[in-house]
Amino acid sequence: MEKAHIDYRMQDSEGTIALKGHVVIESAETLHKTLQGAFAEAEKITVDMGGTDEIDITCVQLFCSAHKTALETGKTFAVINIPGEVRTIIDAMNLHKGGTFTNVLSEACMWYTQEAECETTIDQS
Amino acid sequence: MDKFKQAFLEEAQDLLEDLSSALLELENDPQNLELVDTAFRSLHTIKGSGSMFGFDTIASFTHTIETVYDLVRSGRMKVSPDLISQTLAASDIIRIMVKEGEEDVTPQKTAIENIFNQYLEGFDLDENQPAEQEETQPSEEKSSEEKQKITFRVVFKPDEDILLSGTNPLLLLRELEDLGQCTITTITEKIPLLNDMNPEKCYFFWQVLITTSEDINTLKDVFIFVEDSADIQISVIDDGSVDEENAQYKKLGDILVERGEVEPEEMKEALGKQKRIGEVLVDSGTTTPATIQTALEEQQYVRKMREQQMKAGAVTSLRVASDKVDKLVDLVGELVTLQAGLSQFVTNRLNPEHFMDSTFDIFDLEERYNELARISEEAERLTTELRDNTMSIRMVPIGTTFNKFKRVVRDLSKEMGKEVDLITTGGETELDKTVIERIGDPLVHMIRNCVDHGIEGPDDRSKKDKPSVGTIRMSAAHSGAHVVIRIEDDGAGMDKEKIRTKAIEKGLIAADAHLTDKAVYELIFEPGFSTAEKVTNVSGRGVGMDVVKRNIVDDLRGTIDVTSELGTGTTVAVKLPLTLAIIDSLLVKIKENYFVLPLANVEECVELKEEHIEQQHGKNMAEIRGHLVPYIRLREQFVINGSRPDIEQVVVCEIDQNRVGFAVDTVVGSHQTVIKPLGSMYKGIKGVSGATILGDGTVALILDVPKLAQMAEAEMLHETAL
Repeated sequence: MEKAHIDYRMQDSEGTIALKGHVVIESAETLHKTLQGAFAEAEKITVDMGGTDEIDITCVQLFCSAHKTALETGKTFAVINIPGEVRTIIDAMNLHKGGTFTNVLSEACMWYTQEAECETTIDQS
Repeated sequence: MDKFKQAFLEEAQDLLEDLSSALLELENDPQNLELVDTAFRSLHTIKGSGSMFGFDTIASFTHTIETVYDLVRSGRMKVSPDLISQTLAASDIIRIMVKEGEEDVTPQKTAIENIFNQYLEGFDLDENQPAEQEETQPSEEKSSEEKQKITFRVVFKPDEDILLSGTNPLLLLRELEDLGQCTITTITEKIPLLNDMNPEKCYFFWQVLITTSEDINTLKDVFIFVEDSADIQISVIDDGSVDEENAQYKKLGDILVERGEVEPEEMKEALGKQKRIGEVLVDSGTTTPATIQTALEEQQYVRKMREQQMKAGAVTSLRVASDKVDKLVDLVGELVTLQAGLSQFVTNRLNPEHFMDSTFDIFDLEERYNELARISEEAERLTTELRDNTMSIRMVPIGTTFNKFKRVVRDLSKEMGKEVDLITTGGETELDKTVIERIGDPLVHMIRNCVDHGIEGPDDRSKKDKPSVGTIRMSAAHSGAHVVIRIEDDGAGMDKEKIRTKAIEKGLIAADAHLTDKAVYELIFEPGFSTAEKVTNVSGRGVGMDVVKRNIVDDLRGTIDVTSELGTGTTVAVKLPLTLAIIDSLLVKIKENYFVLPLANVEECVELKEEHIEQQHGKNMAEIRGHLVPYIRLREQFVINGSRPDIEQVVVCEIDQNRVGFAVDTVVGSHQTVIKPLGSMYKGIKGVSGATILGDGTVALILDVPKLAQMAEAEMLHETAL
């Protein structure tokens, strides 16, 4: 199993976290701390999942938490370059239907792009 | 020709049609796996049935083609135009073999076989033997698509620390997905902000709506290793019985109240406002958006499932002997002629001008009356014949179902290391198609119990001086307007003492209760009852016999009777009505209201005078030939106002070997009752099983006699307790 590589860069108040490898429970603590750090100093936080091979629930939970934190603090949080296999996991979990930080009747959530009402966006590439 | 062989030949024609149409579509859409599956299934069924009925050449030829499609199905071979053409040619050969015999096409058959064998060259076929694997499954599993599908709501709330033990909840959800069609919703409402979060804890929980032919235990088994570290709730939200009346699933409010998420009072208040219920409840803080969403999801899901089932139900077909259809056409022809005669009579013989004519002879009226009476009699005869003929169209020999059981017994006995013979008789006995469709599963369950608990292993049997091969006899025979299906085994029999002890343990009966043998055996139909010390994957979980009884007694209006002798064997007799559409009944009247009692329950009618009531000191007891019979006064039961007549009638019915009377004002007489279901609004009403429309358009309620007796008994016990 390829270990997770978490790389964080900050430029012009925009923080970018690049993820590679298996982003699972073993790396949850590091990812959590990186996200906390990014939220402390950046206005816009983007997670690039382009190099991710696998994720588990801990990773999805962290993104949901980051999304909730973004809504609470008025910051922007985005997840981009989601690989197909990771997308399949997220779709299978049907996250947008059980969302809590969304207007449930409009079905808007960070994992649901068509009617996204919040600033947080997601790139489906 | 043997009628089963005839049935195979007819079925094969249909399957070949399905195969051809799938192949033709596949030619234009070679990636479509559903079409590949359809083609494979047709071939597989032709092979299996052909082999079963002795058409060995057809079976072996089809096997070769099927093997190639198995490779296509598993993605190891691609669909090519050449493959389609050769398969169509092969299907033509099968068609000829089916129609004209297996010998006539040997050269063509060999040529096609060679081509298909070439396709198979270079493949390791051991990797791919689903066809054979399927055959080793018990046959009722094979026909799981035909089994009734139930929709469950699974709520899976893992403990927060579950991830630390290495459990991956997603794998469990995937396992659920493999069991049927399902929708998973992840509830994220417990997710905290980043600063409050422990990233190794599980904050998600899930609602899964799953429609499956598996039972609740199979779903529970998915969570068997996490049951101590998660809250798992599994409940049936749709039992799969769907008709046009209830195709729409519950309203959102009903779901929330039923789940206990919202109090009925809160719901009532919310309904008073003119907003959407979901919005109102969220705005008022009664519940969360996520809860509303999961309830909406459930509503939409079940509605979708029911619609699908309705569509699937609409396309089921029935093979009918052509002479029955010919007879129907003849009768319709006669009906048309009769209608023309009636119109002519009205125009020519009932024209008011004739009566005004001074030459009209008043004695001609009698002649006209006789003419009209003849037409009426003719209409009555035709209606009766039409009814009987139409009902007979839906009659199917039960033998087709028996064949399925042979396979079940064969596979189960092998699995359990037992030797069991199933001997069936009376396969030609006909029953309404709907009854046959619904009796299959309960009978399979009882057969499984016979093999699992009834028949002993060969060693036990030889110790008891029994032949090593156990025998299950299954018979069907007509008995008046009923068919009795009897399942007898020569196994260990049921231990009355063991049943009693278990029932006392489970609190089903009092420790000092005196029960007849029949009452003791009845206990096995109580929910959750099982004396099996070991739960096997076949039976013993105590789930099932209660469902069996419910299916037979409540759904099919039948009865079930168990007798057993320890060490010798058990007999279960199931009595079913021939049809569910029409019943012979007794029409009774209270004030202006008509009621119908199924004649099968009725024993006799006796008069009830005021002095009889006084003799019993006002108690609802009638003395009939020296025996006291309790009765229920339907006037009181249905809260019909007004005073009762001086002489009432008591209709005495037999219910579970007890006599119970029903006091009514008047007995109108016997009646052929066409059963109409009650609308969804009245579905939950106890004591009434349906309604019928009388000749003058009046609606009469059909009484559920056993249920009424049960209700009266419960009420009496309640009053006594007070």
